[in-house]
Amino acid sequence: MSATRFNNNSDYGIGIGLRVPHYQHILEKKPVVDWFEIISENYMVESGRPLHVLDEILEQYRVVQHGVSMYFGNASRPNRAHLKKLKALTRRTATPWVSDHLCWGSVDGRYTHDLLPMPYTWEAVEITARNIREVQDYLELPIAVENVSSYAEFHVSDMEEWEFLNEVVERAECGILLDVNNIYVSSRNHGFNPMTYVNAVPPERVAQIHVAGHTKFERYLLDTHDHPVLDPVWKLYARAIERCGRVATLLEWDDKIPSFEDVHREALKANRFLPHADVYVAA
Amino acid sequence: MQMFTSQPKPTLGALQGAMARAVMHPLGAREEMDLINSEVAAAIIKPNGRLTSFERLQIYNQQYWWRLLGAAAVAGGVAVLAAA
Repeated sequence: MSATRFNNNSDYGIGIGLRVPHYQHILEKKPVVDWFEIISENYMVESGRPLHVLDEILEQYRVVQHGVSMYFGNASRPNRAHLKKLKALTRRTATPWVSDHLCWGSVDGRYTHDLLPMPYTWEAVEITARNIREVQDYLELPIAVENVSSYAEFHVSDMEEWEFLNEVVERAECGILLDVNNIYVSSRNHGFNPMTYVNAVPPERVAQIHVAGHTKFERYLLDTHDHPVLDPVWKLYARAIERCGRVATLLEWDDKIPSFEDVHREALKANRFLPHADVYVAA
Repeated sequence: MQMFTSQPKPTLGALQGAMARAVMHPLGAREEMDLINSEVAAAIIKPNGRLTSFERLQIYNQQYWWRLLGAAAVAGGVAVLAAA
């Protein structure tokens, strides 16, 4: 069931994030990898080594674009100059879908460079869906929005996070990039049952899944992407696969990055959960 | 931040403006959040059983500055190498 209109009817398996420390290994050894996810912003440049490497990667591999600064949840409208560069990159990579986060991050042109949590209000639902539709129409590609890890909740919220996500994607007519590590981190930080979240997501809209590691502090968890995936996160992944079928899956590892082989081996652990997946079964 | 302590709700734009100012405000002593952000933290962020509103907002404030200083350190290192 991995092929849906939300991932452009593509059929992607297990991929990993393309990261600088692995460039040389990938270009020289050409390891078998189903696909790579790139951070779009790292390649939205006119020229230079990043684009040169990307072009070499594109000769051998399938690439999907993942962004970190679209800020769909900003009260303001999407940045047209950013969108123009992003669209040019999508033409270069032939990415079947584009993902970015369900968050906000800039005000009046000042960027926090963070994925800040949304207040779960009806006003925010309408504004966020409007922004996603605008981006989707401009890029002429399916958009998948990713749930973020969060450390704060707002007094003004009217609903739970998963209810907010569902309202937004329905109004925006877009897909979901379900990050099960983020669900776990937020569940521990805010005291909800992470399975409730996974069970509430409409499986037919899940275009991709992220897994990653996180760090435990005394009083909260931080989404650091610098560890292997922990067992409770794999349990959420297993449940997501039960519900959604064989969805494109991506391991994120962004800090203290080990060898390419170690990262790829960690990603392929997802295979343990895939053989039992069949056509999606709604809860 | 009096406007957030009484009804009606702040708009999305007002809430984001207040939080962004707090997140980008320079850290105080011992790299903790400046007490000047206490009011906005209490006004917009819910506490939970383990963290106060101040502590929850502080996570974002610290992450912002540590990320920025980390990037500056890397850029400085590159500049030093280039000059060597």
